[in-house]
Amino acid sequence: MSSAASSVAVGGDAGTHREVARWRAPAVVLGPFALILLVRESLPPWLLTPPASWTLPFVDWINAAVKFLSREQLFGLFTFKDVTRAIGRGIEWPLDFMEGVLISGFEGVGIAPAPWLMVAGLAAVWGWYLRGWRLSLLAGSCIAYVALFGKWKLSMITLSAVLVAAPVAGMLGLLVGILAVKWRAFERVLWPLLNVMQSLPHFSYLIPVAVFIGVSHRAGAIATILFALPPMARLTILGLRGVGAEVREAGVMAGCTPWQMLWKVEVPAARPTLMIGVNQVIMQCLAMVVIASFIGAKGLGHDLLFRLQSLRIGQALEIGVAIVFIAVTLDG
Amino acid sequence: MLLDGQDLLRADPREMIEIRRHKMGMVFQHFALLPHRTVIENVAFPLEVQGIDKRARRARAAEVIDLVGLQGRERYYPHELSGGQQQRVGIARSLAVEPDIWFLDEPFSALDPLIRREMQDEFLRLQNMLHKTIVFITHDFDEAIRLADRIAIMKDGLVEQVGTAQALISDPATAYVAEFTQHVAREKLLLVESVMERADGTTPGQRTVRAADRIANVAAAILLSDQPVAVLDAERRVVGRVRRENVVEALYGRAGE
Repeated sequence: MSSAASSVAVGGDAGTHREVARWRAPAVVLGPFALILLVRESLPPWLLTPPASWTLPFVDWINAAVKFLSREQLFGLFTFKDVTRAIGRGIEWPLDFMEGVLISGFEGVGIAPAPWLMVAGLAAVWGWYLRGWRLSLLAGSCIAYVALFGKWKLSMITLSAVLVAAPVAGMLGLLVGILAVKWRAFERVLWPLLNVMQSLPHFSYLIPVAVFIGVSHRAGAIATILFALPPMARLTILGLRGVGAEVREAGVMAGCTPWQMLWKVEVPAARPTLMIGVNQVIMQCLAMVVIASFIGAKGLGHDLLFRLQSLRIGQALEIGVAIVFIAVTLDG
Repeated sequence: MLLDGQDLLRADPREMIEIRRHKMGMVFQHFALLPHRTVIENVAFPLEVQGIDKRARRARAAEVIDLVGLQGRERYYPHELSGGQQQRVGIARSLAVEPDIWFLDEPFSALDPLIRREMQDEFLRLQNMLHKTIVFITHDFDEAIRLADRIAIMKDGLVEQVGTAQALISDPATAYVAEFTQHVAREKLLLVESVMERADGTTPGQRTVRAADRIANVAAAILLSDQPVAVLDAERRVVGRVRRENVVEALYGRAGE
């Protein structure tokens, strides 16, 4: 009994002590800085505004780096820019293919572009297959609306870019995520990189892409892919980490090889999280494919940019609605 | 550590995969079913990993599903099943490859007591049919007594004692084993044989019990009888007698102790 009472007393003392300490610490830490404000007049000017000569020549560094990468030969064979341009051309043919299906048709083999009724119908069937008649109705009518709207061709260019960029970004993101989970050192490099990529404003993706890929429709697609990749990588890491130790062990005891483990146990078990990643990728792609019109991506975004610059609010809004409808369709 | 003459601790990863594929089956405490697969796909999974073709593995999976009494639920997903049913799937999966050794790692600990008992009966029924070598891990000593032929008590990764439940209780090798077995319900474990007084052929009373009976099952008969009860062996010969006092002492200690 007595020991209980004394321990309460000690607790009370410690409590008041901590109370004081809690107020003292901020005062000690913040006080000197408040003092600077008071003695402001008597301080030398360089303490108040850093002189221009102190500014780091950051711009020059960047310019030098870009110059090096685009002009200097690596291994005396090709420049970095050659590599990136080659990659850029690699994305060209799926883009052309999608556009062929949706817009221009394939004249060589005598296939006409898909009529809007067909696209709307396919969207409806797919929606029905995935989640029943509600989604079917939604997807079908969104596409039909876009068609009746008079922006069919532009919408299909945007759609085709997303239909190429989203799967590529999704697969690359998945791959990067898997590598990060399997290979610790890679994750340590990747994580800060993903942080930077996700906090960069949309527009800053355009600059390096414009330099190394050029200004074109495919550059827009590549900027879109780069932009949509980080959330997929992150959610892949999260999803794979979330697979229960016991489920993994069940895979081991069934005699899975590492490859079977990954594709038959871990990836399928992480599916719900991965699907959120896919959803993110599609949304990011749509957001970016519009902005990418600044570096030559064609489609609705280009038109939107054009209307906004000439202050045609009505038409711009119209396009905005079309983009939203495409987003709704793809999201479903 | 030898399995069929092969040292498991020296096996390389590829050999281990082969051993796991063909010789081992394992049941987990939290079932560890693959959430994206139906019951039959879960059960067929170890066969799929081995590369057995779809028709053959489906047929085999259907067989073991029948064995554990889940027929009719082949197309359910794990989250649609109760805990007991999920563990039946776990058991079916572990048996699909016809393992030589069957590991069960606290398989019934996550189930409520009624279902646990039901699953223990199920386990005994399966073992009567299959006659596997089983390693069954549990924290529940009563469960161990019910299911095991031999019990190994482990502490900090080392085996303290191996033996039958009776041996562990009547002759504990270490203080830890003694502590572990202290609160065991002895009447469920001790046989009449171990408390009776030897006597041959004489005084067959009206009541008889068998030497191999567990005390729990015959206690009422013995305790309600004023006379000593005759004890019979398997051939129904009288081998001894047992009095109330023998039972009371064996279960609760000698009076005044």
